[in-house]
Amino acid sequence: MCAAYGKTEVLHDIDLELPPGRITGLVGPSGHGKTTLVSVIVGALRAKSGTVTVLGEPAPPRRVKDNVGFMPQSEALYADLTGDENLRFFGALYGMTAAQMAERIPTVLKQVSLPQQGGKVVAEYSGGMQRRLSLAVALLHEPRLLVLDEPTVGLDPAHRVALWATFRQLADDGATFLVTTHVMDEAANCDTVVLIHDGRVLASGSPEDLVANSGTANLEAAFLQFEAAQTGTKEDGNA
Amino acid sequence: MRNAMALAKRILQQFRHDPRTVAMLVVAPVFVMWLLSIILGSPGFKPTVAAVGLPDQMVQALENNATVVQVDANSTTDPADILTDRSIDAVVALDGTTLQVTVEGSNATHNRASIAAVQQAMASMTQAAQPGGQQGPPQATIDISYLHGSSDWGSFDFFGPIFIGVFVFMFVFITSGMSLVTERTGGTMERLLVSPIKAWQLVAGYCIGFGVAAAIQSVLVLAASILLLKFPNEGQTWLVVVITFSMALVSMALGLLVSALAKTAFQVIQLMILLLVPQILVSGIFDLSTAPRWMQILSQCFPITHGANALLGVMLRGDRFSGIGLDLGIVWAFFVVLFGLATMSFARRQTR
Repeated sequence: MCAAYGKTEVLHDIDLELPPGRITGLVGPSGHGKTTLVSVIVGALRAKSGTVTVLGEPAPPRRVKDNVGFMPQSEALYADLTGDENLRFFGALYGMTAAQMAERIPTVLKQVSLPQQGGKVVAEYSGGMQRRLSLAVALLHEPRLLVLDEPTVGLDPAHRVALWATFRQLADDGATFLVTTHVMDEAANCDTVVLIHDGRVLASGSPEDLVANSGTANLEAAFLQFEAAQTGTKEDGNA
Repeated sequence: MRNAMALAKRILQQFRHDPRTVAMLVVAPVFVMWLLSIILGSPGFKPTVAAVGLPDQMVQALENNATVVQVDANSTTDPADILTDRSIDAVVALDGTTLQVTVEGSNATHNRASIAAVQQAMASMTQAAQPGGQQGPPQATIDISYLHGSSDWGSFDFFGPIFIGVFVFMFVFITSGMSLVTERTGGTMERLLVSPIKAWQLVAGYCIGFGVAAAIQSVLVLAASILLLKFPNEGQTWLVVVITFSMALVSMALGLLVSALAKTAFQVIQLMILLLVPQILVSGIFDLSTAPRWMQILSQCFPITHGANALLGVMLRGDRFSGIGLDLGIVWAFFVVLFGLATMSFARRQTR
C-alpha cells in the first residue's frame, strides 16, 4: 500500500503482515514514515492506494476499533484531569463499565509500573510518568492489537526493561504488537523487525536473521549495511 | 449515547479542575455589563455654553439646560478663541436679531446637547412673550405615556437584553473553540478519532457538556443582571433562560465547526473576530431602520440577531412564547444546521 500527506507520498509499496501473538518492531530513522504507517493501520489516516486489513476488517477499522489499542507519539492525555479521570474517560469511550474499570485500572497501572497518583492532575506528572499513563490508556480495554508509537521514549532503563517484559507477557497471552522505535537495542526484543527507510521496507525478519544476513555484528550495523546497499542501488540506477 | 455522556462528563470534570475559567464565564459578562450600565445609564449631559452679550432673560432661559459662562465684551469674543481650551461646548452671541451659535463640533453628544439647550431656551422665551396664547397658536400641554417601559429607561435598558445574548454567545464560543484546539494540539483528538466514538456522538457529547455549563452560566448571568444590575424584565424569566441557553448552543456548535478550520489558538481568535464582530454590529445594537436594504437582509442571516430580537421581545415588551417563537425557531434551526456541519467535518476527519 501507499500513503500520502497531500501531494507528498510518504510510504511507497509497503507490504507487511503482523503475525498474531507476536511483537513486530518498525525500525528506522525519524521522518522516514513509521508514524504514517501506524496512523494508516489505526485509521487516523487513509491509505492512498492498496489495502490494509486489521483483524480481518479493511482499514479504517471501524468495526474492530474496540480491539485496537493505540498509543500515539505525543502524550495525548488531558493534562487538566487526574490520571484516574483520563483512564476512566477513555475506558468509557471503549464501552467499559465502571465495574470493569475498577478492576482493570489497578492491573494496567501495575503493568506500566505507575503507582496510583490519587488526585494529582496529569500536568503535574513527570514526562516519563505521562508516557506510562499514555500506555496504560492504550492497554486498558484489553485490545487484541496494540499499536504503540515510540512507547519507551524518555523512560529510564529500569522502566524500559519492565515495559518490554510486560509486552512479552501480553504477547504470550495472545496480543499482537506493532511497536515503532529508533533505538536498535530495543528492536532486539521484537520477534520480527521491519527496517523502514525513506518510506520503503529495507529488510525484515527476526533480529538474528537480519544480523546474520548482513554479515554484521549487531542490528545497528545491519541497518547501516542495508541502508548503504539501498542507496548504492539507487545511484547505480541513476547512472 | 454512553460515549457522548462520557465526553460530556469529561468536559464538566475539566471545568471543575479549572475554577478560573468557570469564574471568567460568569464574572466577565457581568462585569462588562456593569461597566456598560454605568456608561449608558449615566444622566443626560449638561453642556457648558459661553454667552456673549446676551440679554439677562436669554441667559436665564439657557441656564435651565446648560451651564452658562458670561463673556464680557472687553475680553475676546471670537468664538474660535473661546472654544480652543475645550471646556466650553458652544458660544452663543446675539447679532442684531440673529442668534449666532458656534458649536465646538468634535463630540456628537456635546453638539446635540448644546443645540438642544439653545432651542429650548428660545422656545421658552417665545412662550413667555405670548402669555395666554391670544396671538399665537393655542397652548397645548403634552402628556407622554409609554406602552412598554417608562421614561426612566436609559439607553442601557434598551441594549441590556442584546448584551446578555452577545456575551453568553461570545464566552461560550471562546471556551469551546479553545478546548477543541487544545484537543487537537495535545494529540487527544487523534485518540478520540481512532476510538469507537462516532462523529455525531462526539459533537453531541461536546454539546451536552458545554450545554450544561452554558445553562448554568445563563442562569447566573441573568440572575446578576436582573437582581444586581436592575435590568428591566417585563416577561417570563424562564423564557429568557431558554433563549440565552439556545444561543449558547448555537455558539457551541459554531465553535466546534471553527475548530475544524483553526489549527492554533491564535487562529481561533482570528476567526472569532471575523465571525462575531460583524454579527454583533448588525444584531440590533444599532438601529438598522435607515440602513441599506442589503444590510437589513444580512442582519437577518445571523443567529445573534434572532436571539437578541427574542430577548428584546421578552424583556422589554413582555412577549410570551407565541411572540418570539419564530425567532427562537430560527436560532434552533441554526443549531441543527451547525450541528450537522460539525458532525460532517468530524466524520470526514475520521475516515481521512
